[in-house]
Amino acid sequence: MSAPEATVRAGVSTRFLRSELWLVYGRRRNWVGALVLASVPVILAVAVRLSSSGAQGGPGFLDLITSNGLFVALAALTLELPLFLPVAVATIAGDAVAGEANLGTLRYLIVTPVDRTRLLAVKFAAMVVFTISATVLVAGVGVLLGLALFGGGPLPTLSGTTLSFAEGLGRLALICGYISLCLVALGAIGLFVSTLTEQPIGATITVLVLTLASQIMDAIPQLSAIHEYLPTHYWLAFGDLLRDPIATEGLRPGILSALAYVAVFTTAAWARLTTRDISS
Amino acid sequence: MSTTSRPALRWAVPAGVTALVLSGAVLGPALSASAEVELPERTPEQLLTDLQTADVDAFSGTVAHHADLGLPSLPSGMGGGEHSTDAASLLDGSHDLRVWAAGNSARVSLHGEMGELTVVTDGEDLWTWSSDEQTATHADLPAHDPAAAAAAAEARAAMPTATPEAVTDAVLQALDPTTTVTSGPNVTVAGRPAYVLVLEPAEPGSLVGSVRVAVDAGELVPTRVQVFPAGSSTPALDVGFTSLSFETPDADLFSFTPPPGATVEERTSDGHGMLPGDLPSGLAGNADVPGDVWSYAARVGTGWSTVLVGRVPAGALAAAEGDAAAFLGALPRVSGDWGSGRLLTSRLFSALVTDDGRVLVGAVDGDTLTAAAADPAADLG
Repeated sequence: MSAPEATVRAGVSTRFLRSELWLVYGRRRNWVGALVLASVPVILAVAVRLSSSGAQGGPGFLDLITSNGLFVALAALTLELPLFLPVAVATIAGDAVAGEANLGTLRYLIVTPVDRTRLLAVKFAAMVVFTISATVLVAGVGVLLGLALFGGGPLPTLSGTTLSFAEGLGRLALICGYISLCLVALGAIGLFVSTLTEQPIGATITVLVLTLASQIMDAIPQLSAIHEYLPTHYWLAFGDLLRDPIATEGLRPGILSALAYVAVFTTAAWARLTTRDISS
Repeated sequence: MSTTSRPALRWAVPAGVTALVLSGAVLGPALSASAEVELPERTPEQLLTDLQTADVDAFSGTVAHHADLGLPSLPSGMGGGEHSTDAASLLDGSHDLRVWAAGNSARVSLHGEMGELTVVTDGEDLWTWSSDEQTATHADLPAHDPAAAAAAAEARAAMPTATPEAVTDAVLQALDPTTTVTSGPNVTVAGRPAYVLVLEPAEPGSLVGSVRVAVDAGELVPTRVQVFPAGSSTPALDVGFTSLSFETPDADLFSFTPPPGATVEERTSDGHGMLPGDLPSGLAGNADVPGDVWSYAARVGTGWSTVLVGRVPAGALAAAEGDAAAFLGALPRVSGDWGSGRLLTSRLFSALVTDDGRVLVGAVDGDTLTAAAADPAADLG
């Protein structure tokens, strides 16, 4: 391939990704979804602020919110991780290929000189960008509202020590990264399912059922032999980032597990998309 | 475009990746576990001496704690579950602990999901921290009294010098009639080669089949202990390092300041038998120690099959309520010539609480225990 040709292809590639992102972020449906994601930290913060007794107990980091605004973000992430964030990722990933097929636009994408491998790469990249933005949206709204209502200051860790506010923000960023990686693994499964069907809703529901089934199986002690292979098993290990010093016993296998899921299901999606007959 | 000409070949890619991932996840640990570790020969006697002479001042690492005692499931609130941060939760399931130690300072953290139970001491203060309760407790360590330290040093100097070999001989002699000590195949613990000492009851009758202690080949300290029930190849208790470093940990790790907003409780050393300074009197089996819940008053049997008999403080059984009463009530009732009571059995030990307020505990099965209850020696009058 000559040099000018390569530049042309690279140019096409970013334009393709930009148009794909435009498609994801331009949809009114996805805006409503983002609103729902952002509403959880708002509800949490306002509810804790209005209740005069202060939060006692409650799931996640709810009882710590009054001590530091950063906990609004952490509590919101903990609450949204089992269902809301997976719904968002499953919707985008399930729609990625099956949505095009359903609208009858997939064949046009294939007919234009776009390689199927590149099509999948762009779909994957858009899914990753969306996942990170969804996580950061929840955390960002939580931090802003938490700081406004409860103030900042040093962040207490699970180990009983305190971190400076800047360090606390850094830990929150690491947590967003870890959660995004876990959700990208789920998105990779969604991308594969999306290549199997022409019904985007079907693909989304399949991914959601898998997520919930995985969490249910993870809660059954008799199935402990398979726990470490479940896609959701290491999700809550992000708590290890709130220890002082950071513990890696849960994070390392969590990262490896997520990367393994991404590797298996993106290659499976690739094998499926590049070998199937596309007629719609 | 040849996208559809050889579909099977393309599927070989995800299949290959899956195989690679699975072999890494399943075969990797299995291979490293079965790999043979070559070390210079050492006899069990030498290993016991090594344990006495080991000089490790500082270390840090992660300990995997796995208990499969086969206890009846605990009511919620009494531990149990895989990620609970309650010290009682160590009785069952798998837990990670992180430990740091340097001289008199130490820190141990029990990790739960989104929680942590930490004990920190810098030699002067002892702190415990529970993130679930958002509570810290603090106590001054009595050992810091200079007069007491001087007295202890004097007492040590007055004692005849015991060489490690002499201590080893004494230990071996104490073990000899009841226990056989052999060495097992070398293993790898926390990535480090280790010798294995195997302690086995010389006579049958105990629930304990063997105790295996891994001794680090480099630093000669125990790095893993496994307790196997008789006739079983899965340990009931398995405590070992998964990572271990002998570098001196950062001194900051041993200081503790409760976070703002946390509840802080002060403990004084004349309170409950919680502090290390009080432990010897609490463990001495002296029934006169006030507030001591459990102290044994008689023993039945010998060696590994010994049954300890004690008395529950009067009224404690009747006063038991909530979780404790529910737990006791869920245990099967047994009765015999000796009376009746509730029997707790597990893979390693059994315990019997009789209605007349006796407690019997031993590494024996339930029948041996009820037989011991009928023994005249166990009749505390």
